[in-house]
Amino acid sequence: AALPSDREQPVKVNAQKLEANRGKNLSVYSGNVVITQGSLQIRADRVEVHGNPEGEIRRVIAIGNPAHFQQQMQQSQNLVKARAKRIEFKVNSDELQLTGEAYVDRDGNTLSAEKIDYDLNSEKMQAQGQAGDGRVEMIWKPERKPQGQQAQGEQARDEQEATDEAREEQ
Amino acid sequence: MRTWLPLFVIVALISAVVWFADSPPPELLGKRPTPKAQDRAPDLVIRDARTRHFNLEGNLAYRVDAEQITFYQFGRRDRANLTEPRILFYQGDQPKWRTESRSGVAHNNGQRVVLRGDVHINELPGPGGIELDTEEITIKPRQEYAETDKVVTISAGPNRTRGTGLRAFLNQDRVEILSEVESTYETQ
Repeated sequence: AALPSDREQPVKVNAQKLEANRGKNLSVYSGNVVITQGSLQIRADRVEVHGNPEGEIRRVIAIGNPAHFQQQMQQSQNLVKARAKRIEFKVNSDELQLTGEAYVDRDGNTLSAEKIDYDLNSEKMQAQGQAGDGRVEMIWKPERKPQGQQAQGEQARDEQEATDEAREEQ
Repeated sequence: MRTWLPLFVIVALISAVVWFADSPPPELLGKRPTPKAQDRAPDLVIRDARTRHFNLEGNLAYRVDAEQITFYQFGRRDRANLTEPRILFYQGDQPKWRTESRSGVAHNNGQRVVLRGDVHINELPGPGGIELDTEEITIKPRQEYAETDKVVTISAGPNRTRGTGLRAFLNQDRVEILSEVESTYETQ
């Protein structure tokens, strides 16, 4: 899951321009937009920040060519990186919806599709290819055992084979 | 029907004259006063001023309290220099915006007001309304519009946005910050 401490941090937004419409609880930032909250970071050309009447952020919609998202996950300590033409981030449910050349990289395991829904809490992903014969591509990085352990493993197998052969000869 | 016509024409003429006299469109305000003309003695000086300004319907439009108001009349145009003005702009019959600043200038019956020096604007009723701080701002009360090219900070509850250049369309509840935008949203 996403770092819990991220959620307690203030959200900072830097951009070239802002249009805020209080009646709609909507702030539209444009021009090199960068949003950060702890380890979470969104970079895009245009970002809509939808809030509630109390001014709390409910939804963030980032549009870019592509828009980028990254955040540190609790267990793996590595960054999850994602990009797409449109990234919608639902703050309350910690859900990410990537649409348009969507791509997610998590510890080297990558997923690309037309649309990816990514639950940052359960770390579950659901991907969908383009209509028609659109494909989903997933690349799973083989688990690499730590160096020492690998050598011993092979040695143990060799010894096992040797004892089997000896027993057969008797 | 014939007898009504002259009466109708007379009434129409009178209304046009009254309208022109009260808030003539800028183009009809006549020539702008030259710097030399502006430099002459004021027509009126009010110290520790408490003034009330009403709109055409007779409703209170805004109140200006100031340490001093120095008033100049140039034909149809006028200018009021304000020292330490406190202005309260009304929306309907409710006070909506309160401004404080070091100085200000009101032009042509308050059609345009420029505030300068530690400008602080509060939305009423507080708390909960937005607050705006800048070094200078131009307000057009009748169009419910304000703009500045200076650095401006807007606070809305715990959230804060800072940038350079602002256009505020108050009747549409819409604000544009034109460059170098930095916003902070606190998580409650």
